[in-house]
Amino acid sequence: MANPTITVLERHMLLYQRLWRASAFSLFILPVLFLTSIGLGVGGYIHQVDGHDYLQWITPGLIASTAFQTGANESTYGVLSEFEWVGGIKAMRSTPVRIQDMIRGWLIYVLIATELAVAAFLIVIWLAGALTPGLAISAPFVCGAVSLAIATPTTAFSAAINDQDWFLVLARFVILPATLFSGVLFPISQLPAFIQPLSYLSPLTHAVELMRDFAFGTATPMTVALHFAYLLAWIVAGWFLANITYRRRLTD
Amino acid sequence: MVTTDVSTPVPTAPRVSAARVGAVLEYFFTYSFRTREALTLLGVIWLTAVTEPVLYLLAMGLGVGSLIDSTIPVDSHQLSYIQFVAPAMLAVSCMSGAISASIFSFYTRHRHLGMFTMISTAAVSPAEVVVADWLWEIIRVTMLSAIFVAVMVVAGVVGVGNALVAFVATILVIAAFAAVGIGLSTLLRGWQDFDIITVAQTVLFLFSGTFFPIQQYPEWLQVIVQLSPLYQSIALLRALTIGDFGMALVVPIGYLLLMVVAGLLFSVRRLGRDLGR
Repeated sequence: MANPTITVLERHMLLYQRLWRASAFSLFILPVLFLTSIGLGVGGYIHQVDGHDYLQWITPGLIASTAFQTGANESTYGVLSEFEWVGGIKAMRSTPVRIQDMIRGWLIYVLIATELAVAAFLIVIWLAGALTPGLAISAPFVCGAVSLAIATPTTAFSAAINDQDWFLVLARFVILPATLFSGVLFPISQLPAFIQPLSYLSPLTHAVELMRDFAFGTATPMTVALHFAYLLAWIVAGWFLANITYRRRLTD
Repeated sequence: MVTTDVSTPVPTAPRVSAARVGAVLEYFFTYSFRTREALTLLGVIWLTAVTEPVLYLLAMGLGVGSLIDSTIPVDSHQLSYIQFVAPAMLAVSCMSGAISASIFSFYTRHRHLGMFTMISTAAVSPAEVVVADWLWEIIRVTMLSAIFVAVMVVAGVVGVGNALVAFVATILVIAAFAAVGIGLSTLLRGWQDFDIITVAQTVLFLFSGTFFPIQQYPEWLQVIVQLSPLYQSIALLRALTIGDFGMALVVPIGYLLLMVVAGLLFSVRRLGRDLGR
């Protein structure tokens, strides 16, 4: 038998092949819209941030933010529907596929979806003539890491709930604050002092700093290692949580 | 002997009776509050819906606003960035609240729950269903705009008097988007079409003079932006929060009223066709 993880991945890719057209348009168009509206429009009123034009300054963060949101969004309805409506998990359960294979195959799929979104964003920047080698080389790694860092705990959450309305709670209490207050659109130093430590809890904050450091050539081995270690901690913790919630749901 | 001819049509009642609209509304109400669990979740969701625009207001107004030293000119006023962006955020939350309430929930109730087919067997006309649903969405979303306006007052962005006037105007904004939203939801072929709505909303959100004045655009683009319903809503709320009560309000108010009338008429016709009336 083929490797069970790959078999699970194949199932998700097959579904994606049938549905990708609906999302392809927004993959390319949303970066353009955000960069022109916020970057150019709002940026017209902002002189410089840390010595960079506003548009230049937000671009690396926006890529990380796109990856973060892809990781989170994919792991909500995509997981719950497998349990509740489509029944894909039940079908897998009746085969030699183990729980960890299900999760691993699923996460590789999320990673692929994320890298596609990141690639689309990089192409947009390249067409605008603003792609630097530092950004192009680092983006797939940083974005992959931050996507998995939020995808693993979100997958665990989605396997633990019964009602899809909980996704609204997750989106508004966790994902949106993380997106808005992780230094993507303005430096964290502008936040009140007591909120700044909270910002550093968010994996996105670390990804944004990594992206910016690589884009502007200010990365040091020490900071890179620390930021990546933090993202890895989220991935590992989320992975174990997902294994627990899957097991609990499938063995009751 | 008196015989009743069953083929004789029942004398036509007025097309929209307040009593029947009220009965349908009451049904929506009891349906939403049917179980304790549903009620709890509804409360939690409602609470989260309130936090969303407030978070945006904090991030854009205070966060991004802190990077902007200059004031933003609107007509003869000079606004700080948070004063500029707050009424726009209010309009956006009215729009997205009304759109998600009308499009998503109307669609679910109509296509998945078959609620309207069921109701329409009880001698309720499509017009009454549409009006009841429209009022129901307005009630729900207005509760959110009330809280948003209150937050603006507490944050010192707007005075109490202007805030009250602006609150009344949010009811019109919500009514306009809800009416059009119900009409649009009858056109959706399936869940894949919701993506189009989301992208359209994002375009409106980013380019309707929400985050920066449209004077930054070239002339021809300014003309196009002014056709946007969100632009008109923002223009209305922005003028009211800074106390600009003048003839300039006529255009946005007229535009929104037109949306209400056109949206409702269209929805009634579409639903009537769906229900075979």
